[in-house]
Amino acid sequence: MKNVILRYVFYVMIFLIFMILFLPKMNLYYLGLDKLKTNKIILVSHDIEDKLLSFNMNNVMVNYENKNTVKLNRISLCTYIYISKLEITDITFNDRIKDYIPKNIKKLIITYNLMTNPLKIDIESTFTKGKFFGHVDLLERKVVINLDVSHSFIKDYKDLTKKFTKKGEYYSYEYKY
Amino acid sequence: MNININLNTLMAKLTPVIIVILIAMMLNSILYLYLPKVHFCEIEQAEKIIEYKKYRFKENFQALKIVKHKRKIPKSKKEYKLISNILLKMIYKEKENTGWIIISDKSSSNSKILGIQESFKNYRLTKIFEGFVVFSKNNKEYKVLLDANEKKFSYIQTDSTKDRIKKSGGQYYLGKNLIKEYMQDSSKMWKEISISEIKNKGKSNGFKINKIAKKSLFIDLGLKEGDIIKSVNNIKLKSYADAFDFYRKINKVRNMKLTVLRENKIVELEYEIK
Repeated sequence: MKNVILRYVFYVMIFLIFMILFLPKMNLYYLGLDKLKTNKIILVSHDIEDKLLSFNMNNVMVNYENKNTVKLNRISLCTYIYISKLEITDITFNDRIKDYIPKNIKKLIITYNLMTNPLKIDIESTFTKGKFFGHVDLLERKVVINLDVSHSFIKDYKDLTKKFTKKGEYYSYEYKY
Repeated sequence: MNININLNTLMAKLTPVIIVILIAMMLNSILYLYLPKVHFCEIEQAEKIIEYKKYRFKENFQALKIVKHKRKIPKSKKEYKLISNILLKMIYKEKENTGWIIISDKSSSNSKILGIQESFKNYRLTKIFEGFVVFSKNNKEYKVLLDANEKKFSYIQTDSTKDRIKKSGGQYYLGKNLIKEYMQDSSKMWKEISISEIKNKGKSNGFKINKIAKKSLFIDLGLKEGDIIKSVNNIKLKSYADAFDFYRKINKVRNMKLTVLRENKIVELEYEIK
């Protein structure tokens, strides 16, 4: 009996590995671009790497309503059987919105782990004046973001932080979609 | 060393693995069929197509023999006739010959805002009067009358403005209809408020509120006489054109932040438009 279960687990693993290997990543990327375009968001990148287990984009410009708003150094999407990880490095916002949000975000990592918690997507980010972390609750349809920043940051970005409430050490914001 | 491989056992063990791989391949192929194959991205400048021209052998052959030097006659530039080409849509006059106007080019129907001493196609706006303005070029003066059609305004009967403005904490909440009403009848706005551009070393340094009528919307919005509006939604107001750019888009704005210099202190007024 134990051998049978192990054999089926092995087949499932083989199936998942080959599903990821044969996944038409480039076409999924086109689908993503089309979906973003309907929301007036256009991603522009001329350096795309379609690898077996990952999909990377370098020097990405994000245009919203035909205005250049964000520049991303690298977007990397990796899928390992039950963990998917999206990593965005060096996010630079346009000068027009620098008063609302920090101009540079060093790293933003979005992780989805099918084994530990399939109903939760983790978000983690670091920028020059602190970091933020949070999660997306797929069951409750809720986004929670916690800010771990200095007091001066709160003063500098009043427009951003006025929506956050202080919970213990962090400033927290909840959004239901 | 002798290795015995039982082909039947090997096949029996490999077959399910191959089937699993084939299922994965098949599922991905089905997925591929439904996904977009290409993505059209906007190209900034399309490649120019070479213009089709018929080669005239006979004429070109003769041209090799006789080269005629034609004297080029310089084409005289057509002078832009201001009076017949523009429409004066709006005049806003302040004291001592200050203010601004809105004109539109008949050919392109583009509108432009001009302040006093600003130029349009080499015609400089020199004087503003009620009903007409005076441009000057090469020591000649050109009088442009306000377009008769633009004098028609529509008025809407409304409730008192106070009922449609709510204040909670430091934030004001405005009704969209109120903004729409003032957009439709801009003359109503200028009856209630008078502003002038403040210039420092030739550069605009904001707009000063000279006068606000009592019981006007602008008093309810927290503005005071003597306030200098420095920026709107963090966009610095460097000219009348900047101010009117924002005025045109105000219908689409949900939040508005005015940065005002009041008694040498920066005051921020925030509005949410519902």
